[in-house]
Order: sequence, then structure tokens, then C-alpha cells
Amino acid sequence: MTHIDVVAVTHRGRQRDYNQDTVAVAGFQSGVLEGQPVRFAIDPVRPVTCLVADGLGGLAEGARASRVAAATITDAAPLFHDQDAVVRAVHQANDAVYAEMALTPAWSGMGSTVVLLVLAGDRAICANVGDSRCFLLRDAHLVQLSQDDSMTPAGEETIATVVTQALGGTPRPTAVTPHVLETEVAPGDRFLLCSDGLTDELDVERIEEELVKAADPRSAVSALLRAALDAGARDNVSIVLVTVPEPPAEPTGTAQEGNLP
Amino acid sequence: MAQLMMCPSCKNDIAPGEQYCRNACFVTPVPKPSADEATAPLQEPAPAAASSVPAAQAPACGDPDCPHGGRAPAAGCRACGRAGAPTAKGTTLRFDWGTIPVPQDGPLVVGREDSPVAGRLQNHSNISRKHAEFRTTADALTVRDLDSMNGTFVNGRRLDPGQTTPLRAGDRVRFAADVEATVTGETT
Repeated sequence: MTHIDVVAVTHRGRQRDYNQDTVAVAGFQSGVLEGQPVRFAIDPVRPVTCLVADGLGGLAEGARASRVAAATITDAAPLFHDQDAVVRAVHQANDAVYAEMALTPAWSGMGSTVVLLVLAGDRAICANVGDSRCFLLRDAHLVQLSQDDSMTPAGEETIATVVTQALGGTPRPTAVTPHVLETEVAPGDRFLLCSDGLTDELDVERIEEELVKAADPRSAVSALLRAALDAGARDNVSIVLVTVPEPPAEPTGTAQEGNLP
Repeated sequence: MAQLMMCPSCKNDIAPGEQYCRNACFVTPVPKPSADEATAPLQEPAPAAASSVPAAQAPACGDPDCPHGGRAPAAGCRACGRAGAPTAKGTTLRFDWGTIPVPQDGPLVVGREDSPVAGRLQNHSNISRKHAEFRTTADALTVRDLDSMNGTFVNGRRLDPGQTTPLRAGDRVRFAADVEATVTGETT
């Protein structure tokens, strides 16, 4: 059995005093202020779920929304065998953010994006709400799997886009429609989940270049974070890099049979 | 001379002007303490680090996002991640032998007379007839020792007679020597 390799990091960047992003990998969740890349080896006996949630709203409320959303989806993750389960969990996360919001008037309007990737057997399910992104790197080409819920204000040349859909994000409960994409997984595929703190600072070609030239997943994530910080890192930066293992040189099946007495 | 900087995490020196530790730490540098104060704790972290770590003020609930500004959360404060309902409604005292709800409309007296738990305390002669009183308000649960002979203790600390003390979910309240109750925010 080969393990799925995941390297994850979340960082406040260089302008913000808070980290409103939350990353979660196979049930482990972090919203640490200035994280370091952490590497996970995950047995895909369950569906493997990774996510990035980017909180919206003033001060701590965005962080609260992204933590709640991440925790809600993570709790449902063992059941992510099909798209329906994933969509249901995203709806639950939306409900949970509104339920949390109802506790304190000051939290009204807090919200979070979410992008999640589920590897279930040979299928990958990508779902997102908001402008956090999921990319697939295959054959050294980076393809975006998520679909941004954002628009640039008309006539402005700016990175400050407006998120058109989020978990929470309005004072009154509003339903969300997550974008879902299901695809085959090939050995050696690499999936990149990130908040807009990365994609605002680095264009897709640069991200692709860093991923392709890196020697291993850990240094790839470190290089991306370093590049984002050097570019100014105006927003929180979260990066999750999921690597599907290449098959061993000889097929494991026959090797094991050969070892049998 | 430029202020020497260091990484608070890996302790490496960092050149002045660097924005973060490049030793794969990615942490904001702090001023390096000079040799004679190297053993003293760092008094003034970098401004960015100071403003970004509200937890440094050690809010009583440990939640850097505490909506109560770091005050001890009331019993059952869900916002701070403690178990229980959003208000003190549903606050209970969990004894070894069962759980007693604290009524919303009046005090709960613990003692060997005029108390809903009097029957359970008959064998504990070291507990006073009126030992302690619990009250709930909109957002807090308090306990007051009713001048008992052998004292009321919260988490091992004896209360002054008559002093009203706020309680949090998880606090352990002991009456005299060997009767103890845990404050819970659960509804039963």
C-alpha cells in the first residue's frame, strides 16, 4: 500500500496581523499564525480529504468562520465517497457558519471560502465555494479544477476582487451552490490547494514553474511560500500540495505473489 | 548600529531588513537580545509579532479570538469553545451521585437543611445546614459561601465567607472535606 503525500502550510503573510485561513489535512486542522510546511503520509484506506478555507470579515471573525467551516467539513470527511456527500458537507458548513454567527451580533456577516479535494480510490472530487483554488499538475501542466466565485469590480485593474459566494458572508442565512468536479486520478498527479494569498502574489505560470522544478513536495511548498512572502504576501497564504504516489517499478501485486510460499 | 535580529523559533541570526526566517521557519524575526541579557526573557518582541499575538496577554479562556475580551467565560460559554449552551441556562452541578440543575429563578442552596440536596448530605456532618448558595444570572453562574463551618472551595481554593465568586464550566466546587461537584454547561 502506498501512501498519499501531503505537505501543508498556512501563514499570515506580511501585512496581516491575523491568520484567517484554515487548512485541514485528513482530519488535522491548522490556522496557526506563521506555520511551517508540515508533511503528512496518509493511508488512503479512507477517502483522503484536504481543504483550505479563507476567512472573510474583520479581525478575528474571518478566522472563526474558516475554522468552523473546516471543522464541519472535516467531521463529515470519512463519508466522502461520492459528490453528494461532499456537497452535503459544504451545505452543513454553511449552516454551521450561520449558526455560529447567530451567537454574537458582532460576528454578523463573517464568512469563509472553502476549497476541498477528496481522493477516494481512483477518483478525485474537487469542490469549492469562493475564490480559493484547486489545481491539478499533470505532465508538468497546471490546470485549475475549482471555479472561482469572484469578479473584478468593473473598470478596475486590481487584485481586490469581490467574492460572489461564500460560506456565511451575509447577515442572513443564504444557501450556497458549491462547484463540484470529479475526475480520474493518475499516478504521479499533484493537486495544489491554495488561498488567494498565493494566487494574488504569483501568477499560474510561476506556480507551475516552482512545482515542476522542485525536488520534492516539501521543498516545492517551501519555495511557493517563500516566493509569496518575497512578493509581499498582502493576504494570508495557505498551500496544500497533495502528491499521488507513482507506482513502484514492478507492480506490487506480482511482487507480493512472488513472496508467497 | 542596526538592531540585530534573530528567529524566535530556530534561534538563527537574521540579517536586518529580512522580513521572515528563510531557514524554512517563515517566522517574523525578533530583536536579538544582547549577550548580557541573553538569559533574560525577551521583553519586547517585534511590533508585528506583538500585535499579532493577542494570546500573549493570556486571556483567561485561552482563546485569542475571545469575544469576551479575554475575561473568564461564564459557565456554559459556547463561544469560547467550552461545552454547553450559549447562556448559563442549563447549567448544572454534577455530584458523584447525580446532577442537580441550578434554577434560573432563584438560588440553589447546598446544605443539610432547606436544600434540594439535603437528603444526600445527611451523612456528611461536616457540611453546614446552609453551606453555600449558587445563583445564575443572564450570563454567569456564581457561588457564595454561607459562612459555613468547614468552607467552600473552588478548584481547591477556599472562598471567603459571603464572597460571590463566578464559576466556569469545568470548575470543581468542594463543600467541606469530601463532597465535590463539577460545574457543567450541559443540559440533562
